[in-house]
Amino acid sequence: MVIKAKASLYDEIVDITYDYLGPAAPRFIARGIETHLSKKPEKLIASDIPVLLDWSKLAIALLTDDKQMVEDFSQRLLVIAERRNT
Amino acid sequence: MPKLKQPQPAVNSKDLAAEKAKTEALFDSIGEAVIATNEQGEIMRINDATTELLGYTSADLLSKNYLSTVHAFDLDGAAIPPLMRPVMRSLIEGKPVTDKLQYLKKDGSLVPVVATVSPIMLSGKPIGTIQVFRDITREQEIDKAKTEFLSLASHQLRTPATAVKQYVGILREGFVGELSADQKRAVEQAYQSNERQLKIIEDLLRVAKVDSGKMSLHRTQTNLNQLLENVMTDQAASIAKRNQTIEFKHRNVTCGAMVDAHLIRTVFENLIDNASKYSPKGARIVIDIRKSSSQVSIAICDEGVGIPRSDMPMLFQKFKRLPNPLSLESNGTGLGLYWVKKVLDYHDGQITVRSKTGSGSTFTVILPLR
Repeated sequence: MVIKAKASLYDEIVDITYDYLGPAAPRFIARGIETHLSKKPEKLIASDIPVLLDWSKLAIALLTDDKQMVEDFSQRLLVIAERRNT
Repeated sequence: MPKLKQPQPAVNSKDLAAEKAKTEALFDSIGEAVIATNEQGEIMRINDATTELLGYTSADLLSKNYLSTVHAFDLDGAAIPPLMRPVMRSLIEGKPVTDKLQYLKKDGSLVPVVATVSPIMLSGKPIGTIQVFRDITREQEIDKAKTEFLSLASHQLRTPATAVKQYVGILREGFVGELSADQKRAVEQAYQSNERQLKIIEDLLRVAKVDSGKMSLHRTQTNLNQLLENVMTDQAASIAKRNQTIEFKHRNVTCGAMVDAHLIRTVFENLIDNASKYSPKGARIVIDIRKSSSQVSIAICDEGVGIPRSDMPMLFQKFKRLPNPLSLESNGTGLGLYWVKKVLDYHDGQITVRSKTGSGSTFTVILPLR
């Protein structure tokens, strides 16, 4: 039997952000958590996601110039938040 | 008690239009260029100074994505990666970011600016960014002329000052005859003054060099413990003269880094000398070196007069000297900490300061391990 380790919330968010920011995603998300939530990335909890999203989507909007992409990013993060909350 | 009359909110469309016109007039009257972006990363507001400075029309800019419309370069002309642009840094840091950079004008030329970008907050949520920037072409020209003048003047001064050193040295060593006690004292004074003069000229020359961007690093793997011990040995006499003690904490860990040993030595010389000069007689200076996986940090702690919070912003500025109530000497140039900061910038290092008036200061140098 293979037991798969559950990815941390931070890892999950980095995985998603990677689709939009590429290799800059881990540093971008880690810095965002430290700055806007004043905590270490591994301490991220689902209820932190809306605040992180407020800042991240502004940055992604500037970088991608694609409203649909920003919407898509927001939805994916909110889905995680909801799933982790339940 | 008289009742204060509450201001009536503008509710009708006429009032709203008047308020909007007033806000727009206010925005356009700002002498510096302003660009505001919205949640979609689009430019939502600019003022006349922006179109004037960048050469674009309002139609060229409004509703366009900011990053792909206004292109930014560093002062050397290299394109700034999007994530490193001040606007992105202000969103990542959640606070205003100020930087000097160049913007590409519509005619293809570059204009140097100093820009401050801040997140726009509404009810605690970021809803965009606003930046204020201004042309610094003239300031840069003046700065360049000043640097060139300093360099030229210092070169011209160094030659006669060095000749004075040689002739006073000949007198001092008694090569042209025995001196009386009074003559010896006078010559010694002249010799010491000339030494200080040469030191100031050297400081000016090296700052002129760093300001002109002509300084290059010769990095070698350097034992920082050894370097610090050498500086402490060199300064032992002047520290002892003030009855001060110096302690080196290294926990038997040797810290090395790829640095320009000569330049980093000048950093430690300046910081240790300052720690001693700004501390009272009998004070203790502690040097604490630590290593992590990515950097080496060297803290230089003193028990000195401390630095008032209001003086902190000018600490690393050129020609700024903070008053030292412990000393009547005024032989400093105000270039020491400016130089320290520049050398560390060249090494991608940092310097931080913690200080409390009357309780001392800690300057921490951080050098990345390459």
